Amino acid sequence: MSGVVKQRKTGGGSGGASNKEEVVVAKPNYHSIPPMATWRKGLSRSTTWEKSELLNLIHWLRQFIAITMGIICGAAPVTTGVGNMAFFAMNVSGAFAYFSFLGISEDELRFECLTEGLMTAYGLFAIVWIFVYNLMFV
Amino acid sequence: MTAFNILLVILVSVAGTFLAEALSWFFVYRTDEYKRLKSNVEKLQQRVDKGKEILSANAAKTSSTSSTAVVPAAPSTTTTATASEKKEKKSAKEKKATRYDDMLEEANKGLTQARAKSSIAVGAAMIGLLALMNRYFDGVLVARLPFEPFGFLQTMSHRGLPGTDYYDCNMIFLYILCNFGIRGNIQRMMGTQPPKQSFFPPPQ
Repeated sequence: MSGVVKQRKTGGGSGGASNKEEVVVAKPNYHSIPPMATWRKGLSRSTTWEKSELLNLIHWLRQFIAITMGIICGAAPVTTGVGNMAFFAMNVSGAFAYFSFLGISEDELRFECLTEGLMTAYGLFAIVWIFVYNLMFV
Repeated sequence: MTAFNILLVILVSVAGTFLAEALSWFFVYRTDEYKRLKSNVEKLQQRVDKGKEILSANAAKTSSTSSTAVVPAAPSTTTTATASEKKEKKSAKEKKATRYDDMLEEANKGLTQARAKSSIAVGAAMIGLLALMNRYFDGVLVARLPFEPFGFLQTMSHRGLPGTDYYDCNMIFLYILCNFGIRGNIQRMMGTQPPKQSFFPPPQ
């Protein structure tokens, strides 16, 4: 299990009493934006993942892709429902391509990764698309 | 002007999310019961994931051995006994995995029930916030949509606005989109996202 191991010295004093060492393992944080090391790990094939770590990476990757697509669609501008279809098509095809790259084969895990943060990303995409479109053209 | 209105709605949505989380923290998250339930759910989730890994590794091992194994002419009693022992072990592991799944489901229900305690306060705060925003944005064109919504979304996005141009959008539709996109991410960053409830059923 990944995490930081800290050692704390407690007690201590005269008479040969030994210092107690306390090992504290920090809980891994798999819900905020992943650090650079995790993003770099996501670019390499032969790595092992904790499930929560992978799902967290996919969630935030999706959010950044949603923001990027929103800016592109708003600036282009894309003015029909094609933008919505393009978003879902990009997400689904991109997800499957990434699963092949990482070597994820179990159906259940693939499904979880496919749906992780999808609707949140769509909301973000729509907001950014609408905002950029209104900023530049309305 | 519409860009400013959109920014305002986004800011109100962010503020509303933090208000909701603050209320939830006050009523639920700081209690020992909630912390205990959450830690229980996390432990069970780890066990369930571990169990699934073991089962899928066993399944992979079985399929690989069966594809390469030489089939004997007549099965001996000793090999039958070993095979039945393996079968028993596998079914015991499957039963354990199912048991952990059920325990996780129960724990998630308990967590959802604990969170529901704050729902009245949060609901009242959100209704108050929406009423305030409605007063300011009633009949106001908040945004021009780059796409035409379909079906019931048209009714929702054009409610209170004059004319029949469905590219015009009101505050409610935008606020709902903000809740979809922004609230989920803020909750996730704070570690307070609700238990997963997928819109889509998982594959059988």
